[in-house]
Amino acid sequence: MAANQSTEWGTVCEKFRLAQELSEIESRKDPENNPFRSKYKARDLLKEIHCSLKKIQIEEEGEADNEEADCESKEVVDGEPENQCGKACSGDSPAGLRAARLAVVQYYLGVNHIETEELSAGEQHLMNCMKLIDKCTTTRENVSLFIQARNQLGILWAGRDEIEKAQGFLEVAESMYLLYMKEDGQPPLDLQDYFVLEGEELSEQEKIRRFEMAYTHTLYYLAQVYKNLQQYERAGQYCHSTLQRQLEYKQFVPLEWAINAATLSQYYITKTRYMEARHCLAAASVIATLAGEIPSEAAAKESDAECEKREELLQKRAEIARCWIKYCLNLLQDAKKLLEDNIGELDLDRQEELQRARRNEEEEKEKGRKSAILFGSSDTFDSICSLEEKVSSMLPLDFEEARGIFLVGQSYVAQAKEYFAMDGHVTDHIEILQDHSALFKVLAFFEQDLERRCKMHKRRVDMLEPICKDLNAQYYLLICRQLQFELAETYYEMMDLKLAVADKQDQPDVHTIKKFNHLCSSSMKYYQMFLDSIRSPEGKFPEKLEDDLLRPALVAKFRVARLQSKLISNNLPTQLENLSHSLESYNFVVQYCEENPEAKIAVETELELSMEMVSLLPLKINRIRSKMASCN
Amino acid sequence: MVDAAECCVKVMCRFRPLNESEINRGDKYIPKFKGEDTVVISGKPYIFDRVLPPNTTQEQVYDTCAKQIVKGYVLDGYNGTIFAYGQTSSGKTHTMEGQLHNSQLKGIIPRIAQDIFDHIYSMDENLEFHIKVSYFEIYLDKIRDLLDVSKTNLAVHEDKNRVPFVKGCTERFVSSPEDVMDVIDEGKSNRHVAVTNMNEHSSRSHSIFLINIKQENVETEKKLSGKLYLVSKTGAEGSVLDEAKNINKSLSALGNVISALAEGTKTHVPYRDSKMTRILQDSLGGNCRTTIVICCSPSVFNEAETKSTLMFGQR
Repeated sequence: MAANQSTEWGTVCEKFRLAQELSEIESRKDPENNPFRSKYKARDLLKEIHCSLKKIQIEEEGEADNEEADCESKEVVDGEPENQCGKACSGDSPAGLRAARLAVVQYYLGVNHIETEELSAGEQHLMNCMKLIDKCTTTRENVSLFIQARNQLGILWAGRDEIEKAQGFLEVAESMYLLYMKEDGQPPLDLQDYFVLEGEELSEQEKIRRFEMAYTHTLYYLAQVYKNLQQYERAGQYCHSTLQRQLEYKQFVPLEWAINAATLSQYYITKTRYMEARHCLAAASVIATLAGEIPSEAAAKESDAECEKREELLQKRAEIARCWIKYCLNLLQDAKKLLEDNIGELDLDRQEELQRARRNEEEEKEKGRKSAILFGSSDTFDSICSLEEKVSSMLPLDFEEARGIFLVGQSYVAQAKEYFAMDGHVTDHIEILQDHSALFKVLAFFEQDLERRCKMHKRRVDMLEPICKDLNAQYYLLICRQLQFELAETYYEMMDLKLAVADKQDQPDVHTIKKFNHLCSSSMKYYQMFLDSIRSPEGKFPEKLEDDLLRPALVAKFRVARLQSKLISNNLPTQLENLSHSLESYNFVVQYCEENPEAKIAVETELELSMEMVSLLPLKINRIRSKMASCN
Repeated sequence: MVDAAECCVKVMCRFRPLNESEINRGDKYIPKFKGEDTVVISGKPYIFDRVLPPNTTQEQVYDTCAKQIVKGYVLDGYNGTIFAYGQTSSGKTHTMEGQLHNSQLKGIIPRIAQDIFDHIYSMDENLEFHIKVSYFEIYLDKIRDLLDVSKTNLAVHEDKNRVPFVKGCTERFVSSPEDVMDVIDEGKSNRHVAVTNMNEHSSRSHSIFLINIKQENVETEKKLSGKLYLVSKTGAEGSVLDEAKNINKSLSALGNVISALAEGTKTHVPYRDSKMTRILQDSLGGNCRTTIVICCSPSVFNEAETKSTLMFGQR
């Protein structure tokens, strides 16, 4: 084209380049009191370009001798009455290219106005852009612009809180990409390709890369739109696609990508989609290693940069480990929910049923699901697979399977604790311990042998007790309460197990009794600590319990009551004392619910049992009293 | 008497007046105020604990937002936090700092400084006070000491006896309101040091001024320690606005989208702004009193941003 070689054209191209530079680079140096100075300059240049283009257009139309009219008229082209759905011209015709050029300027004017907070003007220009190219068929000359204009309009409307409108634009962009790739697929012109001198266009490879990035953004914006529309499953799917594409087109920062994949795994966990979760986690672990070797401690001491790098790598690795812990924990807990009967024990019939069902399950369905979500290029694929093979993604149905998952979880606990040490990261460290404790607790469910079960709970106590003692209760009030309650419950569980074991023996020996009583007292001690933490600074128990303390406090009282009554003693006065204290605590529960009827729903079962005991215990107490009297 | 575990978060909203260039441009003034707690924008009402229209004086702002945090709280050994939150040019700096040396136009921080010392001088003679201040800035999750620019990447540390604190941060003892103001001046001038792109930097960094008040009763030897955090937080991209309907343009915010999907009790979501969150977790957990002041522009030009800022405050 003659236009491409004229000096006028050269000027236009230079102006365009300058406008880009002003917008992207110079603008960062603009002063705080005139932050848009460069962008206003860029705007003026773009307007000049627009005028020049219009001039050139008139010239070219004159030259073309009316053979190819511009896109304003609806003349017949190529002798066909309707050219592709009523479009006035073809995208790859000279007229089409002219339209695209004008449209590009409109696009950049639109973005410019948006960036200078003039949304209405921005919208106008983007709409102009769209209208210009919508008159033409979609070809490699304008498809990228088609998509990017709609991306921008999507962002704009979402900013105005009109989510459905945003969705509309973005979904059209999405459809167009799919259609174009199916029916054409040639490397499209990038937005930078319109105002360059001959021979200076981007390479085909680069064109493709940028086009794919534009579409990746479309998917990313749609993910946000779906999230705002509360269509969470779609949002998750689009986030996943975005991550996939980032890997495929090598548009990612390893650590950032890894953390995002690990976080996405957590979303899948909430949906009990463990296969997807595991794939995300395995990919996260593998991609994280692409961030480089962790600098040694010595190297870190030498240089600030190495120190920062070491810190960051260690931290992110530990975060990914914590995501893995949650994977293992939730997998075990979900299996428990499926297998337990109405008193929380493993239901052998259910177990058999599920084992049978699993044998029959179709593997093909799984493969289909799997192929849709795969991450990675050929080099990372094998590493990801081998990591996945280390842990199951199926709900464990027996102790062996559960133990396998438990051990993986435990190894990640060790890894996480390396970074999140108590000194420096108290809150995180304790959260990890709580997860470790929960792993033991759920593994115990699968263990049939009561003694071994008890040992697992003992591990929990050993882990949490020292921390509970050490922690400053004023600053870590919430955490202290959690630990106290958990320790109380664990000892309680152990007490129940000891009771079950003792019941099998005819006469529990002194040793067993001593152990049993110790467990009772320990549990009581921690429930009492918890209750004491609720008192005011003067030591007064609140008249009315806050919402989130209501159930725990009443349950604590109830358990203390039960424990008191379970203490074993040959000594009558001691028995009397224990039962009296027990009655006191049961009474507290009953009284509180009477004075605060809203509390009844929170502790229905406990209240029922408390009321029973409140009527039964006095009889027992009297019997002991009379026994004591008759002994004298 | 404050219950040890009491936590109280109050949210206030302040609109600044239209500025000169906005008036010259003929910008439309969009907020309508209803009563003391509601502002209406495009027909939609936003309710806060208190709404402060453009004609509110700095003194009134202080009395509403900050006064009750100082006396009877921080001076009793508890922790307090005041957040100023808003987009660039929303009046945030004016609210928090104002014209530091002007008695009418000074903002919250200078008034707090004055108040603290006024109270101290009127308290029990047996009480000995030690007041130290720190001033730091968080940018891209890195903590920079504004009183010692050589410290550019400080860590947040927690141990069993201390809640999260910034390890290695300069602490200056102060014994008068003027001392406090000197520190602020110093910190502010240091903000520009080694920053190549001030626009971008100030729109994305958060500054935190910490006042640490330790008191000891020389007779009883009883010790109390109270901390007051004054946080100036910008509403720019991402982390806090995940409830807003805006779309984040940059793929670097993908993590925020995914985090929002993954939130829950069963999951671990790796922190985005881990340092900021850890330092301030105290403020939003137990044992503390917090005021959030949301600063907004009244111009129609900033309407979308204003709405998203107000949405944040509604949470």
